[in-house]
Amino acid sequence: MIPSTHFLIVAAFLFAMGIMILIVKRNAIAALMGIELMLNAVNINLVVFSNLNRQIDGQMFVIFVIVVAVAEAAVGLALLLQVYKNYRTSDLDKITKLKG
Amino acid sequence: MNSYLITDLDNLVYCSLATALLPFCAFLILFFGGKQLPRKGDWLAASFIGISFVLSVVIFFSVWEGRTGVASIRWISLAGLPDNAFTISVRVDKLSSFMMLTVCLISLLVHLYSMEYMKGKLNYTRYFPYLSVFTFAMLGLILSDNLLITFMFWELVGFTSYLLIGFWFTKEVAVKASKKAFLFNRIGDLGFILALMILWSLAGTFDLQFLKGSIEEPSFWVTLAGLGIVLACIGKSAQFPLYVWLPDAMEGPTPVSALIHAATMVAAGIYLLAKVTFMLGEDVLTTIAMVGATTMLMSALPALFQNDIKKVLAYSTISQLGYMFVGIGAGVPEAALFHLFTHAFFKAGLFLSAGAVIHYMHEIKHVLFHEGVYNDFDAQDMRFMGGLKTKLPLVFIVFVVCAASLVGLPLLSGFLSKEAIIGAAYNWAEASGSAHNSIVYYLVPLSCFITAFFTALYMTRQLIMLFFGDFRLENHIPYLRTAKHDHHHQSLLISLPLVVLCGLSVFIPFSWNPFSPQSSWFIQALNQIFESNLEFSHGVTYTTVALALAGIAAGVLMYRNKVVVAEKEEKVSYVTELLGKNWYLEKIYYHIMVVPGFRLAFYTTKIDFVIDKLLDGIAVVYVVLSHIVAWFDKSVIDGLVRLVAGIAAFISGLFKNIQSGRVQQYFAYTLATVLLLIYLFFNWMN
Repeated sequence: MIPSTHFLIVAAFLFAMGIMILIVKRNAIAALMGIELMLNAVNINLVVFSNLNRQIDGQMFVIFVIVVAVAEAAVGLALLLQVYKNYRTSDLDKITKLKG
Repeated sequence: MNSYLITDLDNLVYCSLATALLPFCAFLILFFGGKQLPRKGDWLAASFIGISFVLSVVIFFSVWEGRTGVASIRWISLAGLPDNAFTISVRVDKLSSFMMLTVCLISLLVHLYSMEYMKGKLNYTRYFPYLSVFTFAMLGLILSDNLLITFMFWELVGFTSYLLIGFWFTKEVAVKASKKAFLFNRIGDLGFILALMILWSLAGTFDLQFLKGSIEEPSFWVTLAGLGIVLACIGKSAQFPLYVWLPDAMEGPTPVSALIHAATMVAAGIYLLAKVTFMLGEDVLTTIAMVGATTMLMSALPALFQNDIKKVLAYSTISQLGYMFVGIGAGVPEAALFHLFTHAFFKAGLFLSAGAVIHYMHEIKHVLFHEGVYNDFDAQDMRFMGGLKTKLPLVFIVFVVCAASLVGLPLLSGFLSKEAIIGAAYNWAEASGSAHNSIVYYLVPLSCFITAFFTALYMTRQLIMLFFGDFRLENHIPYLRTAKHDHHHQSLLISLPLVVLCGLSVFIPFSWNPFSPQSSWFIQALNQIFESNLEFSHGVTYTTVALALAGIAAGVLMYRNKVVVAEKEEKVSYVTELLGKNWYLEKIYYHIMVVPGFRLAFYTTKIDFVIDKLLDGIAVVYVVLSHIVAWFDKSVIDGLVRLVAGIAAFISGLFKNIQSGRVQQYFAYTLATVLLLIYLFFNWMN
């Protein structure tokens, strides 16, 4: 049996990758993908700890997370579409309307 | 039997108002629509005046029966003032009705005359409205029984006179003359305004019927008010020292001179004085008599040396107005008014005859022009006239009759009125002289006598210059001797007024007895109002007539064979120079009034210059000061403010870069913060 630590390492790696992508990538879609990656890393953690504790609720929660993530992806993409419509770009460096 | 007369007093008032307002209607119609009417609407003006004349005749006979129409309405009512403070009142009595009759009749005749005289002249459209509005103003002045309203009409009359003197506004002289007349009248009007103010503060009303009751004993202020009114009348009736405007006023059209500057407007002063006799004290009356006596002599002498046909008549008018002043001053207003009445007719007759002569001369000029001989001679210069007796026989007869009336020969109207005045003056001098034990008062009748002599002299001179001898224009323009220019025919419009005025210059319309002024119906009727002494000594009459005859004889001897040459100025004697220039009065006034006025203006500008410099200096100081203040404001105060703002900007500049607007940076900050919190959390936990 593979020890839980490996899963946790993979999850941490994935999470770090997600953060990296979210910070580094200029394309908004890529950044969204980074967020998805982080979510999945968390999912792995949930599954791992649920397995450790021998309880099912962690895995149930993962299902919910996946469902919510789908909705979130849909909303995120819709937002991106609107942003693209308005700014004619999806480059996050150029969308600086929030600058104070 | 007198069913055609107006018996109802209200109707009398309405009729008199209609008489006054008809010319005003004519004015309005002609002024705004005269151009559209055929013949520019002159017939309309004349017919309106004609209706007015008929009305005034009816009113005259109704009033002469002994009625008096008075109407008064409140004009303005103010809190704290009595009801009669501001009224509009009309009074139709013997005084006003005869004046109305005179004005309407002469105005009608002048209208008719002007239709021919002014035919084809420049601004014909404007002439008749002016005449109409003058008639309206004059009738208003006569009818009004309220001094304030009288004053308004007084001004209006002066204004229309101004308009008509300057009628030929392209002539510089006419414009100057109109301005002069207006300004000299202004001086008199000042007196009127002063009198009005005094009367207001004394009695609180301008209405004559109330004033009569409230002014009882003569006080200093009443005397002053009286003198103010006398000054006004001196201005309007052209008396010394303000008479210089009247000779210049002859620049107006001749019919206008007949109507305004001989018969009616200049007599308004006499009329006003007669209306306010109740408030004229003894001092004022003496002043009036002295002014009149001075004027009549002073203006009779220059008349001897004038070459302008109208100027002689103008000086004669001034002189006759002087007689009227003496009549008022001597306390016999009925004599003055009688002279006003008769003078209006014979002087209008003289002016209109002079107009006919001028018209004839103008016609010669036209004929010559059409025959190719252009000569711009002065059509009013008597030195070009002479021998017109055969050419204008009707005018000659009218002129002789009117002139004889003016001279005061028996059987003529002028005799009656002049005798009345001189007799009154003599009585007055006798009474006052014995009362004050002084012979100064005898100067007034003396002046009357001397003036009677000179009147005869200058009228004879004018008569000879106009109608006897050779036609001197032929010497000037020899072409005339050969040319036929006798196709002159007198228009009926010109001859009819002349004949009417000639008829009114004899004694019959005024008195059945040609030698006794007392028996005149006019004097008798007015005597019921003024109740003055009318017993005149016969010696005065004989003296006057003898003097007049002597004047005529002297005139015939002096001027019969005198050759007058227009171009060559004969060497002028000192007297001729002095009198021809009207005693240098203009020059004196120029040096007394105008030159000091200019000097004053000059010094005032100097003072103004100093004040300007002072103001400039103050302004410069202010500018310097404000520059300093501006510098302080800009550098110190603004600097402080900028410093505070700068500090704030610096601090905000430190942090504003956080708000870059880049989501990823925000995320990175958040991540870093979370990591820091986690790190701190674990450190803190341990």
